[in-house]
Amino acid sequence: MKLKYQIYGSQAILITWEPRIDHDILNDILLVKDIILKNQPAAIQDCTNGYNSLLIVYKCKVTNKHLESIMHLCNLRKSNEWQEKYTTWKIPVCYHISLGMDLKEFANLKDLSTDQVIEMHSVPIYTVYCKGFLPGFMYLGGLNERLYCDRKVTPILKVPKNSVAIGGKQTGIYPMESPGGWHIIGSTPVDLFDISKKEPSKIKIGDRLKFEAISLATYIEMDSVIDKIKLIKKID
Amino acid sequence: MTDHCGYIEVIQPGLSTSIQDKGRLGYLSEGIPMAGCMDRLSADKANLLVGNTTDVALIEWSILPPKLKFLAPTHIACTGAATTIFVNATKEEHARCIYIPANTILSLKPMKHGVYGYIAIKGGVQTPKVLASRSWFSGVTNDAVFKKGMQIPYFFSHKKHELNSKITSALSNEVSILEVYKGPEYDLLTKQQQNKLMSQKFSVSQLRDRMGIQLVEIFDEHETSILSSPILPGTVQWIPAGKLIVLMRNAQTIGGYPRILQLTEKSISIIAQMQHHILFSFRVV
Repeated sequence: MKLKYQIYGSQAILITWEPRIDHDILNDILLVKDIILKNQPAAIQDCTNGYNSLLIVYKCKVTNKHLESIMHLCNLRKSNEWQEKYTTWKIPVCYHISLGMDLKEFANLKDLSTDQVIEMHSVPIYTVYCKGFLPGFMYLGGLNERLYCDRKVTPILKVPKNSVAIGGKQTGIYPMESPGGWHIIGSTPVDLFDISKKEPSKIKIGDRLKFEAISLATYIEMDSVIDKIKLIKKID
Repeated sequence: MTDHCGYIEVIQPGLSTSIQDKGRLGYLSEGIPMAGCMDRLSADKANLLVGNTTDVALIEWSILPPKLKFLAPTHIACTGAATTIFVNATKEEHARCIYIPANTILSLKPMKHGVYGYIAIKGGVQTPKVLASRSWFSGVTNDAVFKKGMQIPYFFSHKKHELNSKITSALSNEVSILEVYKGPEYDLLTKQQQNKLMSQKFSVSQLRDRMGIQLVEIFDEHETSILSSPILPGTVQWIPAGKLIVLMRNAQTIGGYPRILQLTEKSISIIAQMQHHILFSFRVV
C-alpha cells in the first residue's frame, strides 16, 4: 500500500492511506501504529487514527528526521506478519419504541417493518474503525445498505445517553447526551464509556461488535446493574 | 478537608468560567478532546507571576468574569483579557502578583479588549484530575463551568512575599498576521486559491467558543470532503459553503472537512483573544 507522509503543525506527523473504508487499510493502520509505538514510545505524546489515516503527536517539535524515521519504519513492515487480534463484543440493544423514538418513522421512511429494521441492524458484525465526535463514540463500518438514511433535517438538542442511531451510511451509539441528527432506533443499557476507569472504554479500535435485540423487561433489569461496563460481553 | 486546603467560593460564576491546564494528552484515540487553556501565553504568564510552573491548573473566564471569595490566604495574578481588579475595595493591577488575605472578595470589571482572562493561584487549583488533567470538559469532568456556590480547592500560603512580578507580554493586541503551517489538504487548493488564501483579509465572527472560531469572510465554495481523519487544535477547516473554521482547544478529535492550514501554537493564543474588528491575514512559516 502506498502511503503519504506529512508533517502536520509543529508536533505531529500524519500518514494517509487510500481513501477507502476497508478492513485491509484498518489492519495496516493498526500494524503501523503498533510498530511506531513500540519503536518510539518515549517520544510520542499521542497517536490516533481515522478511517484511512494515522496521526502521531510528538512531545517535541517534529523535523524531517522524524519523518524519515517514520517512513523507514513503515517501509520495513511486512503486512503478512500482522496477526489480526481483535475481540468481538455483544452489545444488548432494546429496540422498543419507548427507547427508539424514531424507529417507526425510520421504518416507514425505508419502506420496511420495524421488525425488518431490527433484524437488519442486529444481524451484521460491525467493525470499530476509529473513535471521535464525542468521548468514546465509535465510528462503525458494516451497516446494511438497505438502512442507509440521510440525517434528520433538524438535529435534536438532546439525544439521550446510550441511544443507538443511524445517520447516513453509519450506525453508532451516543456514549453521552448530545445534540444529534441521527435517527434513534433503540438504546443499550450498557455503558460504553466510564471515565472513572483508567481505560474508559473496553472496546478498542479494530474490535468487532454485534447488537443483540433484548426485550424491554431485560433492558430494565440490566439498567439497574451498577457497573454497566461489565454488561458488555465477549463473543467467542 | 485537609488543613492545607483553602477554598474559593463562587459568588458570581461569570459567563463560561472553568478550570483549565495544558490539557488532556494521550486520549485522542478515545475521542477525548485535549481541552486546556485557550490562550496559553496569558495562562503561562499568570502562573509564572505567582511562582507556579506553567503546567498547573488555573481559572479561565470569558467575556464576563466571575466574582470570587477566597476563604484562605494566597497569592493570585490576573492576566489575559483586560480588567479592572478589585481585592475587597482596593483596586489592584492587572498582570501582577497580588496578595490575598483570608475572606477576600475578588471582583473583576471587564474592559473592552481580550476575550479570555486567567486567574492563577499560588500552587495551582486543586480540583480533581481526570485522565491526568484538571481541564474541565463536559462528559469527562463532573463540572463543565462555574456555578454559583461552588467551592474550588487550593493550597493556602500564609507567607506574604514579593514574587518576581514583572513579565512582559509578548502579545500585542493589534496583531494583523497569523503565522501558520500548510495543512494536510493545502494541496487541494489551486494555485489561485493558495494565493487568495494568503492575500485575503479575515476576521473572527461571533460564532466562537472553546470548540472553534468561524471566520466572517467567505473564502471559496467547494465540494470536497475527506474521510473522517484526526484534527488538532489550530487546524483551519474549509467548509463546503466557503467559510473557514479555526478549531480550538475543545475541538472534536476527528473531522471530515479539508484541513488547509494549521496555526502555530502562538497563533492559537492570539486568535483566542482576537477582537471582531481586527482584520488579519495568514502567513506560512
